[in-house]
Amino acid sequence: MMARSLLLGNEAIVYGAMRAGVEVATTYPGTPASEIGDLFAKCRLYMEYSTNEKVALEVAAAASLSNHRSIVSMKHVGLNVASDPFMSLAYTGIRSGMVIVTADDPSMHSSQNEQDNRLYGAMANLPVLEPAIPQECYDMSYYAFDLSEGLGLPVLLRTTTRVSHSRGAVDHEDMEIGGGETLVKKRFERDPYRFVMLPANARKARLKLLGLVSKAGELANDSELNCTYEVGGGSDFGIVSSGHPSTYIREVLEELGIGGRVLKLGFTHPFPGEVLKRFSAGLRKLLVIEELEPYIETMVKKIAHEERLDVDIVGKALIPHHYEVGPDQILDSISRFVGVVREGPVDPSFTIELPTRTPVLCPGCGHRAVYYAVRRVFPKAKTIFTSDIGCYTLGFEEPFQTADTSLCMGSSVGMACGFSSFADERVIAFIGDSTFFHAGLPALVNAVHNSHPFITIVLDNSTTAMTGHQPHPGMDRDERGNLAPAVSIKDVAKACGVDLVREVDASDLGATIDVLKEARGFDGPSLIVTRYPCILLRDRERRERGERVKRYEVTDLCDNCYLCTDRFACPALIKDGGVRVDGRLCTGCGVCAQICPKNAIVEVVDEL
Amino acid sequence: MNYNIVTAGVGGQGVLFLSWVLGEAALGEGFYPCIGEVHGMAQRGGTVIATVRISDRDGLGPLIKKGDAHALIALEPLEAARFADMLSRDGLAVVNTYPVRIKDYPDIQTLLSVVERRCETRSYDAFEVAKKVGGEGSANMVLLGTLAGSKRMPIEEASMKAALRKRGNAEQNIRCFEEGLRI
Repeated sequence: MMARSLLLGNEAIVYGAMRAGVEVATTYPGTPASEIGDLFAKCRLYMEYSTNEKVALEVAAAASLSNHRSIVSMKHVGLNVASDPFMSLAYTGIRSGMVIVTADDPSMHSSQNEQDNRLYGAMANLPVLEPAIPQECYDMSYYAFDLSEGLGLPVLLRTTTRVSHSRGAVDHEDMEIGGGETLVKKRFERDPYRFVMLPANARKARLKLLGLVSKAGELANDSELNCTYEVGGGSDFGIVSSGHPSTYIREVLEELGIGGRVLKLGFTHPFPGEVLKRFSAGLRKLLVIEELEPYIETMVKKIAHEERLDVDIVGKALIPHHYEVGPDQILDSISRFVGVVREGPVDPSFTIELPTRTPVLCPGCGHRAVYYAVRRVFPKAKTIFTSDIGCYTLGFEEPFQTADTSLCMGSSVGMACGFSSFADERVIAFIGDSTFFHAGLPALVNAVHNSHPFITIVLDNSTTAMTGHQPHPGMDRDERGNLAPAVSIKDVAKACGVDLVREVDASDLGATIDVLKEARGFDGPSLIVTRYPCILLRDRERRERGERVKRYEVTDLCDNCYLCTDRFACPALIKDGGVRVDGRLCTGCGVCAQICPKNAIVEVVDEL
Repeated sequence: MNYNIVTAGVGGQGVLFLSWVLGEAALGEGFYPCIGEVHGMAQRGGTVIATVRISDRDGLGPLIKKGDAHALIALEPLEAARFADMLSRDGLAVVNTYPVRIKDYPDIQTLLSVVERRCETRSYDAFEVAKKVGGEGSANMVLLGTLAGSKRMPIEEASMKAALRKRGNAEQNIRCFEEGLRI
């Protein structure tokens, strides 16, 4: 029995995996991959949020070696973290089907870089599947397990933001995927010559892997995932494409009234060279339309060279190398390639300069009070602020500007180690609670052992907020809401040998400032945990309980000094000829009332 | 047949829910909807846009070319102006006039005129309308109602109501949707 549902690409991946009988799913949340874990957490299988992507991949690998079909999902930069086991797992191979989902983020909607993880597949010599729409997410996720098991290799399922976060019609097996945790223990059959990557074993494994790649290449050449179609009548013009950009080609050709032959690739590594050779017969012009790196273009040109094909091949010379490639860019590049002149659709006289609306810390976010306190105690001109990956990177914006660097997960503490020893200023590292466990911990140990004197501030909101509120090791609940042992950041820091460790309620401005001053006078690594639960979660809970939220107002005592709007900058404080509190946005945290030098902001007391 | 709708606003205003209702209603009528969403960083008070494409053909990508949108539902006037150039000249814009202010916020009338010069525009304070029928949080549904009432979309009111019934807060949402139909 089949059913049709409106599914997000990420949800379709889960449906496909459940249809394939996946038994173990692991992840570390990251946009645009997060909803994969969110849905698995409600499914009938074993699911865990692991500490980071490397651990998640290792857990999933062990599941496969002990005969469970497994899947691990992550955002593109997560595969950097997991790249160490990823590269070697290609050597050992796997047993039950194992799928590694990487969700790349062209245009950097929510990322620090854009990188093309198809190249990871090429580097590791592992098969890569590239779905373009939610239906293909379902189909390829399902197929990837058989492919993986047949080859004895993990398979890389590569999406991009526009695939993961597209919602579309998906025809799927009508099945109940929901349910509680299930886990069946099975036998791990030892085979140390295969699974222990000592150099002597690894040398043999390398040869075996190359043999498997060539077998995978035959499968790619026979795969229905690589298909050809024609638009209009006979033409010597061809297009090769994959993933998200491939979805616009038919309609753009129709709009331009141009005939062409299209090769749409879904199984892109190993590259299906035979398919390309058959496709290009009789073509004179060939345009390669792909996002980010010229992976397909390079392969096409290599084959054209080896086969001495007489065809004019163009890719990145016309298709942007940066950002996502959508219908506007494709229309433009095809027009230029075939020499069609078009009128622009937009009359520029109708546009005006508009201010950009950048993301900000939420009204009532505890991090804002911490940043305010830090800027009170530490002059910006004499302090280096290393920041990290999470909501709190938004401290970068005015008025706080508490981010001088941010590279990747955990980099705040690692770079603070360096700055505190090599730069002549005080250093403060900001890191979130989930990020601390992910990659901050090794750097903190480094700070202690190598005596790097700086202050680490862990902005603890008791969740992984930016990606949609997933649990982490510091919390006392797991992904299914069951009680779980919480690892205390404070205790971990103490056990690492950090001498000054403090914990403070972030919304208590006076106490936060006192602790910061204490740390300022301390010579050596110190760590402050500032605690305030994510306001989005707290707000939701309060609404569900029907709890009244404290209301605040600005009284006549206000002398329009604008300290609250200019230095604290809560979006709920509105500056229009004075200051007022926007009741729709205010969450009643009360920090602004602590800031106001005239005590002009007060709680509204309802009359009985 | 393709019908393209842009829904835009500020994080937390219900842009994604709006796009979901359109998609689910289209699916209910046998169309192939495709929605492009924005998640993550962009949702923290930043601009949020979702693109909805309704087609009788499978396999469409989610993005809409500039000038190709048949309709825009904007939950906020600045965001309406920002995406006005997505609209086709014979399109329809339905705009909430209540602003979510930021620094250097332009004059609201100027913002509305950017949209009005592009195509037919219906603008009003959707929060006020929603408040009148007891559902301030469902201003997005009022605007959806107005687009549905224009009879330009290929999907029926009944399918949109059926989609709304699948999610929480259905009664309030439908009340606001019906209020919007009359505007």
